[in-house]
Amino acid sequence: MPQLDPSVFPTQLFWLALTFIPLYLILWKVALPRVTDVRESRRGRIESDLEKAETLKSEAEAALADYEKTIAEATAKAQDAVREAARKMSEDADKQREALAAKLGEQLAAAEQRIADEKARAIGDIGDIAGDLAQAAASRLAGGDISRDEANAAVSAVMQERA
Amino acid sequence: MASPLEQFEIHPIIPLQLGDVDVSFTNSSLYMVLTVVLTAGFVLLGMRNRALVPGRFQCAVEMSYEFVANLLRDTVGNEGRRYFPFVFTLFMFVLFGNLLGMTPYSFTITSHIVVTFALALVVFLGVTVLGFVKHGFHFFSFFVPPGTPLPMWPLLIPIEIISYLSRPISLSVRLFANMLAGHTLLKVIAGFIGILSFAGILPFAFVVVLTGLEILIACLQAYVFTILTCLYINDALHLH
Repeated sequence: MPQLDPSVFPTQLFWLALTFIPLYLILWKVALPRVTDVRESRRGRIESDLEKAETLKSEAEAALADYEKTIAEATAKAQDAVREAARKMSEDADKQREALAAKLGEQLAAAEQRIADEKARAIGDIGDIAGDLAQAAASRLAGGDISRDEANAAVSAVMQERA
Repeated sequence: MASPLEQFEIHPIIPLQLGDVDVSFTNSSLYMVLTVVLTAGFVLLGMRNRALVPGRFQCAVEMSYEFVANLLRDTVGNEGRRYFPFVFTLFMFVLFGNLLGMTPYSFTITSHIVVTFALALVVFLGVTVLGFVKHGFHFFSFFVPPGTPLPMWPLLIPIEIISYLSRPISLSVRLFANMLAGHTLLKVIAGFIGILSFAGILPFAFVVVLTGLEILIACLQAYVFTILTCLYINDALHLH
């Protein structure tokens, strides 16, 4: 078995050392740091990208919140405006109705006043007419001549009795 | 027919003499150099772009890096990072040495006990020195499993010491024997192909299947060598 021949041991050990040690040094000092660097920078990049994404996400969320706030404010404003307009309109309507009611009341009062005046005047006229009638009736029926004043007094006495 | 063990023979390519010692550049040396060139080339060429988004080649390099790094982290923990370059070198050297040996007509450097034993001895000595540097004489408590009753000590301590000292042997023989057995078996069965003429298709098919298995074993043994090294480092750092 060639493996057990001691004469080939030294050369194998010599060349093992001469190959393994340089390989170790090359990998340790040159090759592996490159791998490590690449992996580190990749991890850094991924982390920074994630961070950036996180920032952008929070920014987007802030923008969305802003937008929603603006919308809510605008809605509230619009509702206020609508409410205000409605209130004003109903106020105006109330005012107009009141004014109208006041005007109508005035006209009504004036009309009533006029009616009352007419009535008073009519009643006054009735007294006169009744006086004339009473005087004429008295002169015609009784043949007696009564004065105008007497007739009036009698009429007003009767009217007062019946009023 | 050539002996199945002929493939393990070492021939000098360039005879060299260092004092009285023969250090000829042999077929074994050639494959060691090839292993180093392939390993270094694999990592250096794979990482030449240092791309943030790796291509296939760089991905392969990073996967091997990650594989060994995870192995070390899982067995040793974060203190193991310092030994990563050595563990990675060991893994890649054994892996490429094993896989290179699977090429037809090639030589398998890990099929020689002196090579695997030298690697195992480096691990063993390194780990032992590490243990003493880390714990001083307290390192000897490693030979007393925690919770052992005092009367058992005379029995257990020698057993622990023997099992500790046999580590480089088991580590090196495992790799060496796997490579030796696999390559010998391949050669023996391949020898039947010519002898059996038409029926030779059967051993041929078997050799094809066995080659696949041997490639698996080549990777597996590199993994086993590495994970045991990690476990030894862990023992030295944390004792039990």
